[in-house]
Amino acid sequence: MTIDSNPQSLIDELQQLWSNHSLNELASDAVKHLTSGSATDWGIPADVESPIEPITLGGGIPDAGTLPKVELLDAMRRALNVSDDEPLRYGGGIGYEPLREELAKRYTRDRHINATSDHFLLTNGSADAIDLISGTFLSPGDIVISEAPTFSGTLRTFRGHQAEILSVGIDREGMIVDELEKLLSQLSDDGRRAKLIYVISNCHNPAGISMSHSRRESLLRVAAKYGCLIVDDDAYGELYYTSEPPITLSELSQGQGVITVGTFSKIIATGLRVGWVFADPSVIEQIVRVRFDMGNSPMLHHMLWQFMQDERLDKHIINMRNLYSEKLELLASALHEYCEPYMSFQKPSGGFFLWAQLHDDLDALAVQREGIKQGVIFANGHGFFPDHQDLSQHLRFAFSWVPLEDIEEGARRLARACAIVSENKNK
Amino acid sequence: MDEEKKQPFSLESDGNSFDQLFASIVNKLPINTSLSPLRYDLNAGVPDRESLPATALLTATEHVLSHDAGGALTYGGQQGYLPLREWIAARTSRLSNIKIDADQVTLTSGSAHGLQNVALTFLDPNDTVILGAPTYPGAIRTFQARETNIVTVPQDAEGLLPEKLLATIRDLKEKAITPKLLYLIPTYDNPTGTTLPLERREAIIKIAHDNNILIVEDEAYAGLDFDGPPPPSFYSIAEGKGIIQLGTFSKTIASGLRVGWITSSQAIVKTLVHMRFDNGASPFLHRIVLHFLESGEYIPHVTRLQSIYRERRDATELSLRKHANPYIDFTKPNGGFFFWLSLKDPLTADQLRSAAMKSNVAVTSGTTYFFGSGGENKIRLVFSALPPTDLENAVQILGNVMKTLVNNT
Repeated sequence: MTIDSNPQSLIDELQQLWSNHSLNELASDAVKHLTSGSATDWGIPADVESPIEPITLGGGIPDAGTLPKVELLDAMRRALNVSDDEPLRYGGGIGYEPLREELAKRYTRDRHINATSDHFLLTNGSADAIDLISGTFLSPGDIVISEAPTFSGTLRTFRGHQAEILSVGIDREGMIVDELEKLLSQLSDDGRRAKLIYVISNCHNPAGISMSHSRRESLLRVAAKYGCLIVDDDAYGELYYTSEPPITLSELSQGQGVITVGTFSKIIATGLRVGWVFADPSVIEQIVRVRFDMGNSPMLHHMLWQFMQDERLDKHIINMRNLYSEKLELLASALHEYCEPYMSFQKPSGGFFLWAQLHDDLDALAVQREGIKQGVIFANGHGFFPDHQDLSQHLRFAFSWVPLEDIEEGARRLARACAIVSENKNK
Repeated sequence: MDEEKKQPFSLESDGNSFDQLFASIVNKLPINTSLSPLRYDLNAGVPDRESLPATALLTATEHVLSHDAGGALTYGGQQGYLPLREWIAARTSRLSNIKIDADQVTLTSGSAHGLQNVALTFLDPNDTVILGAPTYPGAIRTFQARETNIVTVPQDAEGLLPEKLLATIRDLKEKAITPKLLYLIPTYDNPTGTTLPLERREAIIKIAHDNNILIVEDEAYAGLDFDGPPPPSFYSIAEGKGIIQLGTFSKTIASGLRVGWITSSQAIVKTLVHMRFDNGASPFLHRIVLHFLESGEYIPHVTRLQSIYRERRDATELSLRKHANPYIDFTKPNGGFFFWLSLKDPLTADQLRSAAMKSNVAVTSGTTYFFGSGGENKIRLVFSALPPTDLENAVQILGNVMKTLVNNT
């Protein structure tokens, strides 16, 4: 192909024509609603550098050493070594049926729900699942209610759908449902209604806690009373470090009024980008309807189905629980030992995150900056609040990815950072 | 699927109190298309099954997991794996003779996802988009979902008519409507198989630019050339100015990968990446694809596909001439997957489609590809998915069905 035919005059003319216009004229309103960033941003200042190799307690990603590359390769070999070519053809918007069936078996077994493959839709990770749910339920101006703090990536998605975001605080038991009811009742008085209530009921990001049983029940009642769907972001639900898993919102309600979002990202690998929606089949059907990407990769779906056979996934998850709970113990005791004067926290019962509250008006941003200088990286709490204002100054430590042997040193560096910020403050 | 198209979806209440929570657009969208279970499926636009490179992809997977498992299995960002973007940029640069950088490329889950990303970034409800009539139904659905005002411009045997485009824009202007986007598939169009000649491409670009309209150039079938290279792309002619180009590996490697891309200016790509909420596509897939591309097998693979599909096109053309000539008109496509047949009186698409179905041949009614009315005497035939003998049998059956229908009229 050549472009000898390209008349230079046309190019010049185009240049001139376009100079009269700005692309901003063409951008959609949704673009203007959004601040920059991505779902995995956690607010690291760009203008500070670590003088030494930093220890990272930053992102919620699995331990690099646990990535099951041999098992995944075996799974891919079995997936592609078939006489038909199904893994390489379009798989449809809802996703590979046997993989959905496998998830249904798992939910039936672990969550005591009568789940079928029709209850599941496969997505490009849970972020895509939440985007699709938003596309199905939200028109511009619709109201969603989130916890504060919450996973910031989801807030960005809601903003992208031009939703109005209201929030309700959390305490040691999870979302403060009394506060939620007040808000819903007030909305109702104003003739308005929230469509979705977004919660992370298991192993919360960033707060680390799981919602108490009684809170779950009252949340379900209040949501049902006001006719709002609960979207339970359950990325970490299988990574509990207690003897028993928490009873899920979907189990308690038997699916009534609850959409659950799940993913292989935290239990296998974030790079797979395979997640799912678990909901009433009538909801799943609607979500497929607003899907325009022709579905995700059947090749990956087939590989994951293979990986789920012979309890390989179960064994993998048990290993993950052991490893992460060991990391959590180490982090919690190191924080007690070195950082007690500066912060307090409730030890999480699962997940990837420990959420600590700073004492004595220590400023989270200042500690984060000083931490980088001392060689330890973590998130400050502000980004997890819808208005980016964390009045009580928190830090979030992710303990999943950091090597075991670095955890104690990380806490020491953190203590140094806190001491410096504290001293500077008292000068 | 054409039956489905005309049937508006209605939300049936099954007693769930949340029925009323669905966004207003949901029940306005038509249902997705699907594969046909019939013996001869000339309906679904899918690649040849035998030629899917499973072994090479497995080799690529092995390489990726043994050399870069950490990168492959960890979040890769919303724009996608840089070395794959560099490969695409270098290739597009070569094909278009324009310097393109990796930051002018963003990776998507196939080109359909790319189009959705574009729609979300540029379109608000009631914004106006211009499509060819006929066009790819997935594009119609995507634009409908944004609740846009869809305006169509007729195509003839050489594709979109520039003078009609200009007239349409003028009409809109008189109503104080300014269209934002023009979507087209200039090369081996779906469904018509046509390729826009260079003069039309230049004319369309000029009109679009005069009117501050972005052109979305869908290159889904690019590379499937049977009779030499097509004219330069819109992107090449306009040196990228005001053009968003959609590409995909679905047709040249495998549709089951779901790896596509968008090429445009840095500013546009940056905004497209900004409007992603899926945390990016799989860096694992990106690495597998790149390894396959760099293995030296990609170019021979595409050449092999060209010859497989060329043979199928030729077999279909020959059979159409032999068995259906009195009942149809068509233009032979120079690439891609599709024949677009104009049925002569008294045949109609719906009647033919239903009758063919009873004889185990699935074809698509032309009405599927029109927003609003149109296509009542058109049929789309997919020649990519079946081997030549199947195509010959299917076309012979189709010819007999036409004959019977005409004789019975």
